[in-house]
Amino acid sequence: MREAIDFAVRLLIVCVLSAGSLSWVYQATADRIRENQEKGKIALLKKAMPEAEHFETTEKEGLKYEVGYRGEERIGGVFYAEGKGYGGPTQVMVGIGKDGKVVEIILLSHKETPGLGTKVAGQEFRSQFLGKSGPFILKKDDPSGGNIDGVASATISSRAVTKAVENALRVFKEEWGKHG
Amino acid sequence: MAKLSTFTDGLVKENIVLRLMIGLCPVLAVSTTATDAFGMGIAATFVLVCSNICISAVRKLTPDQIRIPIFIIIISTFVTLTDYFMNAYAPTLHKSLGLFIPLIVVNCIILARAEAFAYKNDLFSSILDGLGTGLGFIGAIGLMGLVREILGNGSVFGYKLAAGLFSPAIIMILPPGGFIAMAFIMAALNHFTRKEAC
Repeated sequence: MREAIDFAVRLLIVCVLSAGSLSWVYQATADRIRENQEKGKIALLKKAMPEAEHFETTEKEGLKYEVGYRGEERIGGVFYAEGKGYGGPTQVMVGIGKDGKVVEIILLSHKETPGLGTKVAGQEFRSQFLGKSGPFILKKDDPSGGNIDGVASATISSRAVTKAVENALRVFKEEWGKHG
Repeated sequence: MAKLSTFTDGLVKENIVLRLMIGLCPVLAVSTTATDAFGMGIAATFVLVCSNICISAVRKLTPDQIRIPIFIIIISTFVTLTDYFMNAYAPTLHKSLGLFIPLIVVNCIILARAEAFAYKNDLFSSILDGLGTGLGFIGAIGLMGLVREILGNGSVFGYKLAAGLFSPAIIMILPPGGFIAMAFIMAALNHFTRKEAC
């Protein structure tokens, strides 16, 4: 019994010291970590819509997107969308101008094969979308009406991104009008 | 001279990865680029040295029966500290290492050195042991990262090598490439350090 108490006290001391040092360092770094995350997010948004000066997050009913402003003018939105990729969900961020044209596509996270599927993030594939308003259809899915060349040996990854961009455009069409 | 050998043994002769083959999981998983590999090596070494110091310092106050929980608390404290620091001061590295930072807690290298060395030896030797083992780990994982990034991606620390020299073999940055690189590095080490021809 005495031994058990002795052990418990020793463990308690170690735990208290550990928790104390952790909370101290947490407080010392928390601001910087938050700042980094904020900075990273804004840098990504700027990449998706370079012309915007600041962004405002709209969030409702599980739907979240960013409206980009230049001065007072709303010049477009950045939408989050997902497609079913080869190795799992492919998440993209799509910047769409107020004219409904795609400004930029950014791959946020994906599980595609390095060197094959990851080429969908490359300039060659992405540039087929930029400046256009869709609808985007993979040539492989519709040889007569398709307008997007998939990346060779990465059809599923290409389809995932195409679908995700289509989803983003759909959300844009549904939501943009509501802002007056 | 015994002191010096506790440091140097960890470098090559008893290299934790290439000789004892402990803690291979992070070595295989985060050695796809040289930056990630060295980052992982440095983070693990920091945790290893700090936990060796603490465990050696409290070894006489630690009863045998509860030593493992105490080791784990000490190790996970330093891992979480590393996680905070890296997130604050090296966010890009933190993002690419991701889950493998918290997983240092269960890295058997650190618990192995705590149990086999720091718990039984004085503070100074434990620091030397931690540094030697850690540098051996950095060397092994860093070499893996360099080899795999050069062959698999055609770059070093993210800088593209002269383009067009060869087309990178993607397999080297996929999991099988990890095993292939590991085997060749180990074979080379054995070849150059063996005492006599056999």
